[in-house]
Amino acid sequence: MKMSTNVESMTYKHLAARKGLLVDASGREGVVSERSAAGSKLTVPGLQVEWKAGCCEARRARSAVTIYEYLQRAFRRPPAPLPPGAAWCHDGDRNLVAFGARLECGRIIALGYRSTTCATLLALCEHLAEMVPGMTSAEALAYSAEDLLALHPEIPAGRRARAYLAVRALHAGLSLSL
Amino acid sequence: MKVAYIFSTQGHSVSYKLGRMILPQLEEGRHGAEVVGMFFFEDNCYLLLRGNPIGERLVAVAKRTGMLLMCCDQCCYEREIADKLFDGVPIGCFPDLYQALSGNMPDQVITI
Repeated sequence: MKMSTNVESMTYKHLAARKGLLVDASGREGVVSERSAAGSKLTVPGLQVEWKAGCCEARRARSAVTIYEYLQRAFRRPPAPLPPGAAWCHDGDRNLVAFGARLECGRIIALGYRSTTCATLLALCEHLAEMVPGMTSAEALAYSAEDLLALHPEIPAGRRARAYLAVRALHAGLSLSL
Repeated sequence: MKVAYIFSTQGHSVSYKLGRMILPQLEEGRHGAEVVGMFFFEDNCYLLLRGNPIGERLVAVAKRTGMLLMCCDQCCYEREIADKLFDGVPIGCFPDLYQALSGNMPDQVITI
């Protein structure tokens, strides 16, 4: 196994940017807690990610922060100001979402959103709002609803469409900010 | 008369009022009103967790009559059972409930 020093020092946000992995909510750097021939293990409270040969081959992990916990965080988040002309996206269930991003040197440094109050949708928007800052715009635009859903297998089939709406709104908001 | 039940309070709501009164009456076809939907809040959602014997009987009635069964989405996420409900039982909130009932509106909504 080849593991370079700069991989070890990557933040979870960077890992997330590359592979859509869960980011620790506070953006704390991961710690390589174990090494073996099979791979290494990064550990932060509430999250374990294993990979075999550096972050680019990392496997997706189930989010240790549940949809319900993200929903609670969403309720506590103060309303984010959205840029003028924010792109509102909607679905057939009368849900509306808009994201607004602030970029510096091609990297997202802040992300806000407004959403109707569907629990699943709010939670997924909150997850994106915590995870995406730190990514480049290209990385965020490559992030898919499937990546997000892989972190939340607890979302039942009837609610999985909310992830597509959230990610579509994220991409629309980013496109406006570029 | 068409009715919808909302199981909001806890305690004996589902094990007693539903499990020993409403459900047996529905199974026997003598409830006295057509039940078009049931919505479950908080711990009442456990009734529709796969494997629950009362839930199993209720789902069988719902399949036979077309009655809507729905659980509160936040309640299910909080209890980590959103993906463990009987097949065909959705999670949702009031907009989903009203949308689902819009094709067969109840005359009365009864909160238990």
